[in-house]
Amino acid sequence: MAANYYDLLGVARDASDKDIRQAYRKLARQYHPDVNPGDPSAEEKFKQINEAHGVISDADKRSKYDKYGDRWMHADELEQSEARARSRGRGGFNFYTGG
Amino acid sequence: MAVPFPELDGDALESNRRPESPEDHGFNEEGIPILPDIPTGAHHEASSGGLFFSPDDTESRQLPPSPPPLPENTGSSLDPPEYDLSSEEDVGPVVGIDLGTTFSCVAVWEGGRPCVIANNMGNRTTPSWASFHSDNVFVGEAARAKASRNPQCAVYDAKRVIGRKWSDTSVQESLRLWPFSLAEHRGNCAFQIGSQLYTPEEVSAYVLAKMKHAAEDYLGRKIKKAVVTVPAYFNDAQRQATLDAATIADLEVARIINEPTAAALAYGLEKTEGDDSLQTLLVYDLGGGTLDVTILVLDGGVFEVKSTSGDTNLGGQDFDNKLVEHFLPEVKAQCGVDITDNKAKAMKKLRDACQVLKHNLSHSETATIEVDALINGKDFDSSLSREKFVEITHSLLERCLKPVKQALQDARMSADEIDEAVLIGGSTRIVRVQQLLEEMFPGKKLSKKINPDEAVAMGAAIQGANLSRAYETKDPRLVGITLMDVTPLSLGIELASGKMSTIIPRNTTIPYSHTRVYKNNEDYQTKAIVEVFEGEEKYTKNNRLLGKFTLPGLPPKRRGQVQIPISFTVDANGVLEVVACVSGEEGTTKRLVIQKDKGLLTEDDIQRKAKILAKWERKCRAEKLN
Repeated sequence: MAANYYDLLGVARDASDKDIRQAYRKLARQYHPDVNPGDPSAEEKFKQINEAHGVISDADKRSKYDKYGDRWMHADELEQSEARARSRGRGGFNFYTGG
Repeated sequence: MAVPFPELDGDALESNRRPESPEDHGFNEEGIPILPDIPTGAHHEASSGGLFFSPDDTESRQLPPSPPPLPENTGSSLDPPEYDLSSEEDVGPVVGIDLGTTFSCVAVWEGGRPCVIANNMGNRTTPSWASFHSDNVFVGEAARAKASRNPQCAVYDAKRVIGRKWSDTSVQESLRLWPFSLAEHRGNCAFQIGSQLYTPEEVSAYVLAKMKHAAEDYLGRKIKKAVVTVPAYFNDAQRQATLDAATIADLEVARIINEPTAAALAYGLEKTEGDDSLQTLLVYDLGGGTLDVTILVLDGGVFEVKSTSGDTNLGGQDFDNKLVEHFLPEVKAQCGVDITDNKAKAMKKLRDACQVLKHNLSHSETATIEVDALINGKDFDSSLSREKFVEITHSLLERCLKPVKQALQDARMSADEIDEAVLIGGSTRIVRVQQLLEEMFPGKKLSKKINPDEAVAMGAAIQGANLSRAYETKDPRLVGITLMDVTPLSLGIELASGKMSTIIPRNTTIPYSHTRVYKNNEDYQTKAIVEVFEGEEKYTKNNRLLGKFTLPGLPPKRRGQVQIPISFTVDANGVLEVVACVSGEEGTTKRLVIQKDKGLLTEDDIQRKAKILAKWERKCRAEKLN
């Protein structure tokens, strides 16, 4: 299981966008491969921070992450298939939540 | 809750543009096609080396290269090895080169700032021209001077054809207006001079070598490494071809960086000192041949690119083309000859005059065009107003704002969130282009603080200095400067349905890696073929194939029962590595060495051309030519 995105960025669960942004840039500056030439562990760390930021900085994805944790990516599909199951009973209403 | 195996509908895939989780099990799966029964490739186990787009460049990418043969000593060995590249060898400063469509520029970090180097003619930019003659090759001003007598021998616009297919519509459309001839060479483009063919890589290599000379003359030492810039919207083939050009010119590329990002670096360096405020910039770079738009956030020393968009076929040259086309009927009326039939000299004269006219319209309401003895001793003169200019270049101007809108949309920003629009590239001097941007960003000043012709090279020099020094020995001004760029195009694989399944979406901050899980498409399929594409189209046939490989050893199971995780990793150079593995009984792992298009230069071609160029360099040095 991947580390918690909030822990990766070193911010609290209720951190503001500004806090997240600042934490991300600070860490990015620290771990960017240009600053750490020849250090693959720094690059790995950067990729993780990058991934965490990609989710936590996006309000929609963040709420999904808060709800589903590591399975946040599947939030749409989960809801979709639930919706599909529901709609099948009602006769084929095609429900789709944006992503 | 297993998602029914067949395709997700396109919209669902579409909506999932930014897959962020590395563990993506169970969803968004679709079969990858079964492989036609062909022998499997040579690479079985994960080969240790990285797998890159550029097999020839793997050494130079990051870490200390195995020591290449030492260059002749140029007298600089007395200097203490100031540049630590985690290697004992002193490879000298990393210069920044802006290899432009019409002009190129070189800069180096010196005395705590980027410094543009003038060429031997005293000019700070050099025409990206090469002129091929039986006894020598001339580059820059010399080539352009030769062009008036022998227009067929002088070529330019290599950047407009580099890495492009001969069948590319933009190539075909421009053919008629070039005074030189272009021919098909293994599906790609080559310049034809007499019976000789010169690839765009070669022409660009001559220009790069000329820029290298200027830097060597100025610094009094051999230059081995450079940061070379490309338009942000260049695709992989175009980037690869640019790297090949550098190799031919005996330059090791420390990094390929995007032109607008480089410009932002030059701009931001001045601003960041003592200023920790957050600033959002839009860099609008309209050069001789390409338009790039990049939105980035400056926060302290971090330059974070949010989005990038562009048009690789829109620039000053297109405006010139429109002017030439506009005046051709008038020329025919005044001089009685159609100069498009094989009248290269006259075409060149007319084009040069159109360029002057265009420049004059940037400071005058109306401008005249006068060409003495255009054809058969007959003069041509006419005039044009700004209004008329806007009318005849209407179709181009319409395209000027499209990438701006796209970039804003991709960055999820509105125009008023942009603090400053920075104009780069000579063609941003066109009055109407400035007006369009002012309308787009009402009430905002368009920043012309940095020299539009030099900013890109300066930014490249900053990044060159940044990459060449160890953290401890870094210039204090560079400490904390971190450039975070994005992938310009989406990267993904082909599904059995022919659809593109995006694994890394465009505008993802790099380095980045992501894995998606796919399933076998047919019962008892034993091999899977993985085809890697770049582009934004729904069907891969409209995107560009980067490479493919075969994954053998799938356990024989029914359709949808075999899971195949495929990982894409893009490093800071924008180089993609693809790893696929199957967790069957045998557990095969396969990495992709993305093979270059067969049409592009082979390793042998590059080596052979590099030798020719090295010989030319020695000749130029010895005979004081160019």
